[in-house]
Amino acid sequence: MFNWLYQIGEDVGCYSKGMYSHLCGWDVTCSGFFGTPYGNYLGMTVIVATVLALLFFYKLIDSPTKRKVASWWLMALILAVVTFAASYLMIHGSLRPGGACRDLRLTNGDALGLAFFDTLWGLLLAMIVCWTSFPRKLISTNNPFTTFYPIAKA
Amino acid sequence: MNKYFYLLFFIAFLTSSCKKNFQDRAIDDASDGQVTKEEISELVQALPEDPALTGDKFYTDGKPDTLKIRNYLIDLYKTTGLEISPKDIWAPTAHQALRQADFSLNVYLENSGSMDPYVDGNTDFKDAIYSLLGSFHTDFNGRLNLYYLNSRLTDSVVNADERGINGFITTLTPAKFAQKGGNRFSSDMTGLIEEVLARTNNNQASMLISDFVFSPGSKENAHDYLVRQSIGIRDVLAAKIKSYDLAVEVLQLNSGFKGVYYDHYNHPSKISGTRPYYIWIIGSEQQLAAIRKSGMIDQTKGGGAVHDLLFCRHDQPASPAFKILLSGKKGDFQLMNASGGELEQAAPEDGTTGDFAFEVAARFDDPIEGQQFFDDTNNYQHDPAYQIKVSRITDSDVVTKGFTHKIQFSTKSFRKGELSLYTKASVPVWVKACNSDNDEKIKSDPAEMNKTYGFQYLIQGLYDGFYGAPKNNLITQIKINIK
Repeated sequence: MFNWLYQIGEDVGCYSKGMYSHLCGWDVTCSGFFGTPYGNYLGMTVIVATVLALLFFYKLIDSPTKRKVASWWLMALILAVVTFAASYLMIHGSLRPGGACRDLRLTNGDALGLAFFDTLWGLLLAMIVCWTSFPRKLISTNNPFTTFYPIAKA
Repeated sequence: MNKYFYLLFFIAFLTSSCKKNFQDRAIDDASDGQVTKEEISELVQALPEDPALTGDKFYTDGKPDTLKIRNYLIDLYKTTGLEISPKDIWAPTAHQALRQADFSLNVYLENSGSMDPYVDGNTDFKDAIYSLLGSFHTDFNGRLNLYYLNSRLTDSVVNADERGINGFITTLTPAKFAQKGGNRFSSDMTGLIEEVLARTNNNQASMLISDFVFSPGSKENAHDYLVRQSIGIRDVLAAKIKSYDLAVEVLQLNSGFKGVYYDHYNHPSKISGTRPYYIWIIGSEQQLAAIRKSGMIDQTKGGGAVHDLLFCRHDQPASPAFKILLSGKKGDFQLMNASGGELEQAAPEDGTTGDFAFEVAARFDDPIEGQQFFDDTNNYQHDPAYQIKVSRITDSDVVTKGFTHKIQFSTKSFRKGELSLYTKASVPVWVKACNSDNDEKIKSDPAEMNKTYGFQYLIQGLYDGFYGAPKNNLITQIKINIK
């Protein structure tokens, strides 16, 4: 489901082709794509983290603030840290012997690159969700006009 | 309303990817220390829906193969460090049907004078014959008929039971051999083989036991005689193959030999030592497959088979199991499945042309030529733009487990397209090593004791009969598609 997305990460050089195969589910015996689909799990993790962060920011806290843009980017920073840590820990755990096909020659650099890529697209997702006012207005009472860029008051 | 709709959509989106993949389900199944028949059945249901993702990894003839799935589980658990013994993984009773195969086995024991020294006393020869007959009687439902044969059939035990087998073995003595009559002074190999082939059909497989020493006599030119016999054997086999799915397995065994050896001039020499003899199993491919899978050949007493050759008709070269490896590559490619033979998005090191290499692990378990045959790159046929290196897989690495040879393909002029690697049948090296061209000095030359006079001509006749026609000598084909 997320293979197309992680193909982009490989194409732009965030990680190796081997990591892309690992994310697509190349099995531990190096036989085919019927292993753990880490790409799907990571993709869902990033989406859930992003949605939870937005719900937390717009629904649970939902507190009016004077520095709206700065507060959005603070939320984004926390989201980035969480996404990076979750991605890195999940994929690094799979690099142990017996957790991935040995011939893929995966390195810690691949894991860091992947965590960076996940962080990047998680932020982009958050920005896209907040681009239009509809989701903000749907869940927020006090911050429907708070997002990653300044919005002039009507 | 809108809020609930988005919530439900989001949950559906997340759960759509929660179906457990095959590998993780297999690991879960081992959590209780065993994998049951029901769990294997569930794994069959969990096989990837797209066959392109697995190739023949889990399938045989397009159907899920539980034995292959079990083998994968064993590899998987070993790789992931799960402590589960193979005996705790359910195994299908694969050979049950084969053991019920309903065909008779006619055993022809050549009782010419040259065979007397093999039956003098308690010899490995007798042990081997006894164990083979006993195994067939135990493992198969078909009748076992025992015959003595030289220039003609001289005696028989039809539908032998335990007592019949025992009686047959106890009469294996030089004196009893002589009593059976027939022409015991010369061996017409072509005639013997023709006689046995005539009695081989879908209901009757044959076993021919002989020392297969040609005896041209002093009046004949030995070389001309051997060539004539070789051509004769080729012709009788070729004639049979036209109308029958013939397969022949040749086992070479050794036994104690004490008595008179007649050289190719029929000059007698009294010798004592160990000499080779041969058991030919002749039948349809199905019959031979059943016999091989029953394990009766592997369990042969009397030292077992030293060498083993199997000849069968190849209308099409067989497709051995293989797997493209990610190790040892030059350039780049992607794999959808390792055993599918397709290298996708392949590119050489410098982009368009130039160095490109990849490795394939193959399982050459076809015993036509034995494992050594596949070590020799001269026995391979492939695109001349590629060079190949072949090495035997000896380690127990899980990535190459179950495969026998690693083949590295390399080229300096990369191009996309189909690449086929064939192996060509040829008379194996050990046949030449076991062949004697002159057995006159067998008494003084110890090396001659391990050789059989004219053996190479005999096997050449078999080879020409099976593989003589153009392109019929291609045994295996590995097809790789470079995209």
